[in-house]
Amino acid sequence: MQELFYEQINETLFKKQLDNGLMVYIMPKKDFRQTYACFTTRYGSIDRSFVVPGTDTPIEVPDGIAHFLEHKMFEEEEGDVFTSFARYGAQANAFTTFDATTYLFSCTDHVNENLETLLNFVQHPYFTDDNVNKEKGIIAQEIRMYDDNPNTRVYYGLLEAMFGKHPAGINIAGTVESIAEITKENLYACYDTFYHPSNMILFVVGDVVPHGIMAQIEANQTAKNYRRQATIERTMPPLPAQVHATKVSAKLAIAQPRVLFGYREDTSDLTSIDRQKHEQAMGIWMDCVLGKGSALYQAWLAKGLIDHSFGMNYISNAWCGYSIFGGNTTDPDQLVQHAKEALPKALAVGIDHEDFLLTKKKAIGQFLQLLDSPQAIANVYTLERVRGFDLFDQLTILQSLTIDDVHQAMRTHLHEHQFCVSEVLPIS
Amino acid sequence: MKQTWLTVQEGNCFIHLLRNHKFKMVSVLAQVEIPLAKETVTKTALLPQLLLRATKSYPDTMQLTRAFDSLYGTNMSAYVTKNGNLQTLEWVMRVPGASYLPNGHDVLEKALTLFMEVMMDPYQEDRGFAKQYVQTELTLHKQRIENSINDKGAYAAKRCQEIMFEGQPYGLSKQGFLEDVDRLTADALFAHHHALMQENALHFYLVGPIDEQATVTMLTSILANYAWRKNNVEQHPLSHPQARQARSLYVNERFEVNQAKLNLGYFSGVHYEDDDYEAIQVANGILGGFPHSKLFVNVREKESLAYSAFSRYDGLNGTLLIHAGIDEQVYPKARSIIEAQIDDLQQGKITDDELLFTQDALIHRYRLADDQPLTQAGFHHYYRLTGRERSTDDLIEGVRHVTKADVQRVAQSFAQDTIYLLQGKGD
Repeated sequence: MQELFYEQINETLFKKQLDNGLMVYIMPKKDFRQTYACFTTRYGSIDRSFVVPGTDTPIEVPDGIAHFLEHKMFEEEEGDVFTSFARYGAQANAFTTFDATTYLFSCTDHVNENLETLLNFVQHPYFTDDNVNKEKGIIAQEIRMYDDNPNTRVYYGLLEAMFGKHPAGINIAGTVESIAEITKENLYACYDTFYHPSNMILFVVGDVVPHGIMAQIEANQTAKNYRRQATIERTMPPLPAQVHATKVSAKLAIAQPRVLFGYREDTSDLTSIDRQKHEQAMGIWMDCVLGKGSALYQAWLAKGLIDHSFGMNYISNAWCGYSIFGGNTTDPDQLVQHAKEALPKALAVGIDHEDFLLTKKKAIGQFLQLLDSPQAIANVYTLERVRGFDLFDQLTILQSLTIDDVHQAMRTHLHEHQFCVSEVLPIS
Repeated sequence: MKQTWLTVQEGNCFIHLLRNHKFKMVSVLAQVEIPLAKETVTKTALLPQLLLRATKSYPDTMQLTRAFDSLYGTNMSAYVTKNGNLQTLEWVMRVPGASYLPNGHDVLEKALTLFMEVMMDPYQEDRGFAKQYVQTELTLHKQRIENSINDKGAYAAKRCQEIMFEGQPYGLSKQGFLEDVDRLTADALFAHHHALMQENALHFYLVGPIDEQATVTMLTSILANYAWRKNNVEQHPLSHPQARQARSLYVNERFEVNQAKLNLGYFSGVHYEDDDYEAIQVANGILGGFPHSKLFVNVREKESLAYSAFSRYDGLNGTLLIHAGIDEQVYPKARSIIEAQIDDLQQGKITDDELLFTQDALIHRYRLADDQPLTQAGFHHYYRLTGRERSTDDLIEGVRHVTKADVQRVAQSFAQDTIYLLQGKGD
């Protein structure tokens, strides 16, 4: 077991890769009442096409199946897994993203029993025709709930504009039509491909004794006799050179238009270290140019173009990255027009050095805040791992970033033909 | 670990401190309470965002934002909330602990100075708020009120409660009313703010890696700049809504939506200060607080009618609110299944597991409060409002001793008041 001490933040991380390939991380947090654990597979909504181990040709599965599988894992022969957690006072949950599925619990007692439950239910699928069909009604309601939500609609609209039919543009939950095609057979195919321990990460954080927890996990895994699995063959189509649409528009029963815009970029030729650095640099310039402390933000607010919901984010993974800016607006066209002029201009003028230093300082405080939440540490660490990043390198990377790095990130990112807009307008 | 607040009174300001070195951030919460009333609700609701625009030392928003940013991203936000018949103004700030920052020794003091200045010393023009900020914030506030329809789940819950409390203070919308926004002026807002800060008690919570004595000294000296605040404390008592017989009033509203939102509101006779509070928390938990609860199991898992189906209990109002997102065609079925769960509670049809799982889940939630700095402040807030002090240990003990008979008895106090259905417009 490897022990890594991070002096600046006064935290220690223990890690070990088990014989079956599972990566285990344990982070002791003294005096915290809760223990939080998450068990994650590198498998999400983008994994539409892949080769099932033991076969030769790739198969294609219905959109939304990773999320559907996540729901169905909570059912066992003897009943509902929530009951097993409830018996030991734990709260359990799960979530699916574009590239990962995470199962988690939080407890303040019976850590060992709950950890066993987590490991055992995720490593034991139980799908029947009946339980698969019954879930379709529940997930259809989940999809309809998001269909009415302007935030999710405008977000998926932007992904559609950027990626079209490429897997990166898929709605995580799929559609009511696509989930209708899900069967127990294709669920097992996904499970058998992606839930091998060598494709998974376990993170435990709390006031725990690392050696004891690691011994328990190893004993549990060894008893299951997993055989080594070859590398998973995922057939990810290359990112289309052109955006799918420059603008996507929808209508909902809302009061005010909501708009998102941003640029996409191909990051498939960057190493994970370079991508992590690029992501940090992107965050810095975006905040300098359009953050709450920027002249542009204040000018747009004064003009009534934006409100306090205006925000921004940069998201990257192994095949692409994209920036997102936006929020509520009185006039989507005018806001987008302003942005299309302001962003290239910001690149031409360059980032002010004082702004750069200030934003770096701000990012340090935001990183520290994350360390007060066991849940955030485990979730963020794991999701960054899936994308090849190391969360605890973030502070070092941040401190070593130069203004040239930031300008370089701007130059590679701001290409007009990669710009897309998504808007949701009120039904008048 | 037993945690107790150290409280120091400075005039009409109460400083509550909880030292805890397991946290890397210092969390700060300030609260001021006034009665909820139609005449003041809108102008009070506008203040938090308006005050964040500019202060005496930082006369424009950009400068003020950058002053916070320079304190390692110290972030200040502000809200209005409703608590029973009271409106609460809340300011929240998180400051990175000094020992994790290069040259961080004076960050907390600077942050607290700025925090206090935002609350009490706005930038002025002609004895009023600056006109250009007032103009923008009036517009933004109107949009905020209009935008409350955007999140249909939250909107449906809000409407259901407004109908339950019609004609009573809690029935007022916490953001106020469109028609009142236009009548507000820079001068009137300024006078309202001044009176509000002058005449009402201010409660300050600080949790995290702090030195208690040094922090009290620091805050006392900052507060000395605001000697215009009155020293006598005006108390605003919490009062309960008028009890009402079950009326089962059905209200529906139509929007162009894909999913209907069903909300059922009940009054109960039990409040936070009552000995039955823990029992009614358990009753709510068994009904709809968790994935093992009756609503989740029967509405979602058995019948596949909903993805979200849960209940919430409000101890200050003594109300229970049930929510389910459904296809509108199944409304009669969903409603009857939900009502059957209430009937089961009232008839004592509760399994050993339902009781035990709910007690354990609530105990887990109370223990989690030790890891969440401002949740502790929330418990203290309820103590101030109700006069009933409950530590997390008291809550845990209380929940542990609840019996099925207790749950049945308190559940019998549920009186169905309002059934609110937000549904589609049809084709």
